Amino acid sequence: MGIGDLMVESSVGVLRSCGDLKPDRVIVGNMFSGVGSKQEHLGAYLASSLGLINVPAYKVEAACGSGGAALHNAYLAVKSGESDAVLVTGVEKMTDLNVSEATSALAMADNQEYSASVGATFLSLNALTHRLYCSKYHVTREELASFPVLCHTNAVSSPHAMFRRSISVDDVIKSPIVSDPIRLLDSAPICDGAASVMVVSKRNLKRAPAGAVKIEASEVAVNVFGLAERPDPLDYIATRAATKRALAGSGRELRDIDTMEVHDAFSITSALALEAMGVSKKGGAPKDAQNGRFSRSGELPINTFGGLKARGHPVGASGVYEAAEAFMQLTGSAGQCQVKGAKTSLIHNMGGVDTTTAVHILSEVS
Amino acid sequence: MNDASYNRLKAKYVGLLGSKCKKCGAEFFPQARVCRKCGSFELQDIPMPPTGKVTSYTILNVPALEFKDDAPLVIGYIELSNGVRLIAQLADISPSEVREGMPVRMEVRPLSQKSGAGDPMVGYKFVKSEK
Ligand SMILES: [Zn+2]
Repeated sequence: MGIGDLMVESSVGVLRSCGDLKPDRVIVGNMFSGVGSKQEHLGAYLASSLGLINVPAYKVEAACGSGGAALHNAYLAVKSGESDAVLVTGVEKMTDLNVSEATSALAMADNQEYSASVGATFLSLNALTHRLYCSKYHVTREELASFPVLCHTNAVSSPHAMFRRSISVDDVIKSPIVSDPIRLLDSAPICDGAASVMVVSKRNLKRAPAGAVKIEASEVAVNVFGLAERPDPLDYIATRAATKRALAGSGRELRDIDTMEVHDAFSITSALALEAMGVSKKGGAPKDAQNGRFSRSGELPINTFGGLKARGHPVGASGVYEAAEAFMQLTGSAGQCQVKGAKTSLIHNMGGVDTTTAVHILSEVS
Repeated sequence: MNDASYNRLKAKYVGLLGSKCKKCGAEFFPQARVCRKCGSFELQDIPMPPTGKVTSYTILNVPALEFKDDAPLVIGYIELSNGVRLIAQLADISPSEVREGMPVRMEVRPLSQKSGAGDPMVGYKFVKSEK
């Protein structure tokens, strides 16, 4: 499937489930269709393909956080009263590029001229933080490998996941070294994908036969653009700020969250994100994962359908996948991935290394 | 990197050109137009000190296309002697000898071995230093 096929197919799925409700705005989340498919102008492309002429339609880009940023824009459009039904589709077509081309495309998330042009890749930036983290907190590679192991375990029962097989800590440690200390199985895969949701106003709630969830809060924050320039590269300040504002905005505390989708592009990003949110103490998230705290049967299940690592990470689509997955959890339609009694979910989506971070809190509608 | 962007960047790479805030003295690399510390718009260009230490590193086995002949690349996260940090390739330092805390100094080197038609693109890399 090409990029058009992907976003149209996913959108048709959500439109079909919304009965006669038609979007009055279309927002596409995408990172690099210009490089990946030599195609831009995705808003008009998608709206037109769906027969929606004359509606406002455009793409929102924030690297791997494009999906979360698109959802945020839909939220704003509805909240302001300008829109009553916004179709949000995240899409990425990565596999028409070879690995080194995809590597170059992903490197656009940091300051090209001072990272990619001098030889660093997006993966190597995360590798630098992985090593710093392990030295600073005496965390082992094995402990960090608990995150991909957890994601693969959850993906086994996840129908839309890319890797529906479990792996061991040993598999992670012994997988090929991509950018030491990051192994292949520490990394989310290069893949294609699209996901869609419809953001509707209160008065359209009844017109969504497939059920609905409430967006309690939608927040986006940015960090210092170049990873190298940050006072503390291990401090995900955008994640911290967006989470804090989202919790305050929804009048909730972390302990109210029943499931979480965390942006696990790499094992290290899961750990640093959970610590920035305040879920784990600094240096403590890998141990918590190892002890089962984040497993589907644990105290705070994360990445309940496999996360970026095992569900797949079509970069600009991932934030919308998270929203769709939280929707399934909160409407009791998660099948074998269902977390019993899930009423409130937090989804976390980052562009770059916590460079742009979107946090949404969603809850069931009673 | 194409020729046009290289021509624009070369002097900044070779001179390790950054900025210093005229108001609060904060230093930045790469150049900044606005001070992230105090918000001032008044900054001046200054070269960064050419010495520092490796605070973290990675051995990159799967580089982007322009660097494929250089794999594995040793990439360092370097803290310069003025406290400013940057990411750069480490040169003449093997994957087995690179260490956190290793003192390094800047040298101007070809950025990659990939041979083009003209002169190679040069920029900053860091080599071992006595301190
Ligand atoms: Zn200043």
